[in-house]
Amino acid sequence: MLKENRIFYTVLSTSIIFALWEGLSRTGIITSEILPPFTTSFYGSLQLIASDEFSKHLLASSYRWAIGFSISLVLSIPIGIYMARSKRVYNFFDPLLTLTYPVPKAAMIPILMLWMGAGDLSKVTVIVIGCFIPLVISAYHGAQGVETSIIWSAKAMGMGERAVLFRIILPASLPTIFSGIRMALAISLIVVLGSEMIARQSGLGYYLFNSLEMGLYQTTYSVLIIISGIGLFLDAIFSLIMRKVLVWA
Amino acid sequence: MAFSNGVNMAKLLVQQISKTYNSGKESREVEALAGIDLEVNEGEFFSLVGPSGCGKSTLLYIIGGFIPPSGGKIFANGKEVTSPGIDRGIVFQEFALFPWKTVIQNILYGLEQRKIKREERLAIASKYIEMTSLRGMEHLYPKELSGGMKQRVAIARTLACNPDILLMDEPFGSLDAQTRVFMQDELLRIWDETRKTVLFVTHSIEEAVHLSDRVAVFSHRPGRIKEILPIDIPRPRIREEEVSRGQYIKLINYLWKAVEREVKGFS
Amino acid sequence: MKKKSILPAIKKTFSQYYSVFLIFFIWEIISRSGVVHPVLLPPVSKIIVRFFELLFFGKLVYHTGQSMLRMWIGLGLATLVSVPLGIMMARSSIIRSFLEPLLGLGFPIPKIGIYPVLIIFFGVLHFSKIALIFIESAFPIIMATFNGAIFVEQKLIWSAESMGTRRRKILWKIILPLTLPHIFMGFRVGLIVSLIAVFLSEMIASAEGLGHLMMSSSRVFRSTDMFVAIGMISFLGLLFDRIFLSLRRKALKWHPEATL
Repeated sequence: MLKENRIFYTVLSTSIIFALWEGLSRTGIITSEILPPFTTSFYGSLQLIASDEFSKHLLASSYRWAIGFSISLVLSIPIGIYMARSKRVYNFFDPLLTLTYPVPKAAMIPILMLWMGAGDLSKVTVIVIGCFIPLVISAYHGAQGVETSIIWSAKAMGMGERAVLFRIILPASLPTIFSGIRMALAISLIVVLGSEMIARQSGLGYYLFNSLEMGLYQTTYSVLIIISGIGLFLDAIFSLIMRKVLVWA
Repeated sequence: MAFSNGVNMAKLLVQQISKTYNSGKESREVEALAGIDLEVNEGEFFSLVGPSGCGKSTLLYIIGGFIPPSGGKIFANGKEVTSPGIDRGIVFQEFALFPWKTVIQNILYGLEQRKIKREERLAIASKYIEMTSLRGMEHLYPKELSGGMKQRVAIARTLACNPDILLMDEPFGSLDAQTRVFMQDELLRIWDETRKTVLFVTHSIEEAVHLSDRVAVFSHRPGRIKEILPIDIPRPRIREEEVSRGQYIKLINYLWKAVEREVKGFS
Repeated sequence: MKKKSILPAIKKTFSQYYSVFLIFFIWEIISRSGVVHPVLLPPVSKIIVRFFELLFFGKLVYHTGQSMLRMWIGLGLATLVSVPLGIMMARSSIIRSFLEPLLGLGFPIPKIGIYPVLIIFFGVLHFSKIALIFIESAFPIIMATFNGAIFVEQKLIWSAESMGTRRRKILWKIILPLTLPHIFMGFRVGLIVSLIAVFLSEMIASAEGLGHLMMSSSRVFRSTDMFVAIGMISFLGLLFDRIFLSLRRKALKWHPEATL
């Protein structure tokens, strides 16, 4: 599918879905208490964004997410690259990774809340834990996949170890690392939202679930729209960055 | 021309086949074939040579029934060709083996489509395994086979369906030079046993001369047949003797020049 | 004979997983020494004991059963629906044009956000969770199946046709076996996300299940029970993954790529 076609079909499909939503609701096939019309919900979203109370929670979530995600990037990627370079580091981390890979890190949320309270620290920690494995694995595979012939050529031209790392291995592993970051992005959003829905103190997740408990279903849909929008927005920005950085790939 | 009582008895009759590709948007047409006429006789080994992209594989696929022609007709065994059929078997350069099936399962594939009893199927498969020197490898998967072995499985698989015509699209192109030479002689041996009608596409002029009864030279795109050269070297074609024969060298030089003209763009 | 072959195997496991045993060992020491409050970090030994207590005398089996019921129904339905859908997307450009953009958009959206809506529709019992699991696992399975089915080499189809296979049968005989490796990959991701989804949803709002067990234990500060729940969840995750990998190895023994 050509680029123009792709945009066209995306708009078409989403329009059909929204129209379906609107239609089901307005015609009463599904009562508007359970499914308020799309337009009403969307308008509600705009109102929420403008309101102070909501913005407070939005900010809280953003703050946690940003810190947690940044820390996980800074922590995990170097470990992954180091694993590819040193057999000892690899042997240490590999069994841990293999064992914890199928284990849902979300299960750590209550324990972390027990240790660190229901505030920001526990949420930031669980983001770091959740994103750790995909980032480490992709960094490892990225660094590992750099062809030995390229590394040897560089060394034969007199490059030292550090130079080889920063000027050869790092750039060459970027594509794989970036796809790992993209996945970690999606995971981090689920984790932050989920932990807020469990802790029920502040943030988008809290706001979302609270509206459900209070029976303010319209708000629930409005927040859902905002959350979806944020997810798409972040992913779009990331794809843009990726394309700019990896223009050579 | 093979006629009997005025009726064309050629095994394969290609009449004015043309193929034009439309790339849709700017109506940029690519004329791949511009009117091909061809007759291949029963039991004949017929090769097609020519520059890259001249359409020889396209013609093969049209004869196989995989691509529809833009114009013209094809008759195999007197019947018009409109779709793939068990009367025309094909062997590809990429082997196209079913990777999830073992050697013998691949060979049995075509037989399973027909209503034959199990014992008979196994017997037929066994015969072709023997013929293609694959004995002992029946239960290996394609990933465990070398290029030469894979091609032998592909050939055995196609032969097991007992096609009237065997279409071969640069079957030895993926093999290393030594295996290629070996496989050529294997193919001659198998062909001698089965005497199928073969239409063989290749880039290698030596290969074409060594294997064929006749060789057709393709022009560069749009593909036309410039000439058809009979290879009058007696069979069996033993490589060591053949190479020193003047006739062999003459034919190769002639064909080289013919193809070279096309590659360089002269008509 | 058996005794002789077990010892080197145990030695091997130890040396391979030494970091894991190390961590457990340090854990036990830290916990017993009182450096950390025993409520925050109960000793490993105590957790193991409690595990068996809950297993035989408590409701561990019940809660595990509830979680697994939801997860497998959700995952099973998702597979049954997603594989045909993915193949249809590969065969029909109309279906593809409609679904592909939706899948692409759905991927970055945190689907846990739709959980409250599902509760609105289906209440807090099983169905909302099954629906969430279904949605979460359908995405990777559809995408993987689609990616596998769309790249089937034309020449394989042509070979089959020239051996007498009719168009209709090509799907079953050629496309499905070739797509199987991709379906397995997608299912593995589906397995992982459905595990996450079931526990997350139970921790947020549920009256039963391992996630609920975790939350109810945390409210009364029974950290040992919480760790038992985590242990159970981890064990299940590992178990399913191992079973999956060995099934895949058998089914895909023909596949050239060693590490799939």
